Amino acid sequence: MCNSNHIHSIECILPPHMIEAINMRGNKKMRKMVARLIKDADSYRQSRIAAAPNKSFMAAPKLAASARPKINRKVYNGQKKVKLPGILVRKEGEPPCKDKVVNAAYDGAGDVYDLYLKQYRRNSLDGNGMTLISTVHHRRNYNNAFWNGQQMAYGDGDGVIFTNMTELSIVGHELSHGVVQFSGGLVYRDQSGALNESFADVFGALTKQHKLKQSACDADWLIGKGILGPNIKGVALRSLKTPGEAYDDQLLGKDPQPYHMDYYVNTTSDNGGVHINSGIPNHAFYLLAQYLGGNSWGKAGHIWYDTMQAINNPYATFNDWADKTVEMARARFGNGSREVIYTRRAWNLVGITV
Amino acid sequence: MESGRNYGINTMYSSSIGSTFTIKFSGGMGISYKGSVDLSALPQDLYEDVQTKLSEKNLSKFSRENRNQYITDSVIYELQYKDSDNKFTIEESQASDDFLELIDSLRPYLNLELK
Ligand SMILES: [Zn+2]
Repeated sequence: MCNSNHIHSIECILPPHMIEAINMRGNKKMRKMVARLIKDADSYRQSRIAAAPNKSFMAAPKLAASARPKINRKVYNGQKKVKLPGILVRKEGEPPCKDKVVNAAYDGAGDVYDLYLKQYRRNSLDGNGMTLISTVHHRRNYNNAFWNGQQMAYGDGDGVIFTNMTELSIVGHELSHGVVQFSGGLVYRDQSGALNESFADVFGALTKQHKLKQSACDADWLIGKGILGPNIKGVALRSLKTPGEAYDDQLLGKDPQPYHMDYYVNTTSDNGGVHINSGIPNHAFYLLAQYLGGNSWGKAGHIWYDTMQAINNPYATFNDWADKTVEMARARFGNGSREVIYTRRAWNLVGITV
Repeated sequence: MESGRNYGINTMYSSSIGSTFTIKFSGGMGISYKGSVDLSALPQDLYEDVQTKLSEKNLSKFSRENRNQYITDSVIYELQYKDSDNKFTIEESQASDDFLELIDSLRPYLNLELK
């Protein structure tokens, strides 16, 4: 309820979820309208809107087969400071520099771009040739990497919990958050947030498999292999093959990911368990890729990618997503096809009936 | 994207920081861990920084109140003082540069807790 003592802000007129949806999905005019109302009502909220990227797509435009787009990358050295982006140290076409981390971010961004262009005819994150901006050496002792809506940032780790944050599946993960954002978005909390995380994990894994030309059965299906500190007991951050088994350590505890809805974790931390329950759709994708065989970025990857482009629901639940994957499998491979049958079976095996 | 949750200051403290406080790191890429800082072990300049900046009247300065609604994998920091149930929770994109720099400076003095 509104407090009668303050000026009525837009939050009193429109519920938060509508504002969220307009900002994420509305056209330019609608977003402008919201921005103006917010500016009038509340100056701090105005700055939040201004910080948001200008463009957002319901689904990214698909390139014509004859188009020959060009990648554009920029890598900055954050110099261990908080401010982004830092000092430009390598841009598109320049040779490798002495700093291996800079080169890993540059090459990794190229590998992600390749996957989306060659397999899904998507020209960069926004489908429109967006420059891929990365900052490495972000902050001091920083145990993280993130996508902030406009660029990636990678810490160096503290050497105890994390070491290298520019491992290829991590680069693929972060950039794929950008793909989600420019495909209509999935709100980053609860099940839609877990789907956002899962899409980033799936395409992070596919980036590495595509680069190494691995089949579904040859791949390790790990996210962040080798990035944990030398004394941490674990192999990676997450495993799509065996969610819950990536690490078991005295400092970090046990990998909390479930592989089945029976073990779904209800929590308010981690934005409602977005990095936890993502284990369920992650494992469904893994099962589908195994059933279909061959390269996972092919049939299974197309079903998931098509779903992201078509879901049109930023609050999608696991069931919404699963239903849409079956619909996309049917549209691409035909009713009654093995792809449809296996998509259903993969979801059923993780406890989601479609 | 907007989380809808209030990561700003959710509790006020007494003016004394005490001798120890804990920092819990969560969110991020999905890893959570916790450590405690013994203030008496800090170098003088850092000790003074903590005493000044983490005092009750200054905590509000750390919050920008304009969380980046598009950020994913951002870290959530939770500070708790010894002998207090009060917690200060803030999400990375909502925290000021000052706060983040202070957290980074404290990392070498953080005694990580076993789970
Ligand atoms: Zn993520």
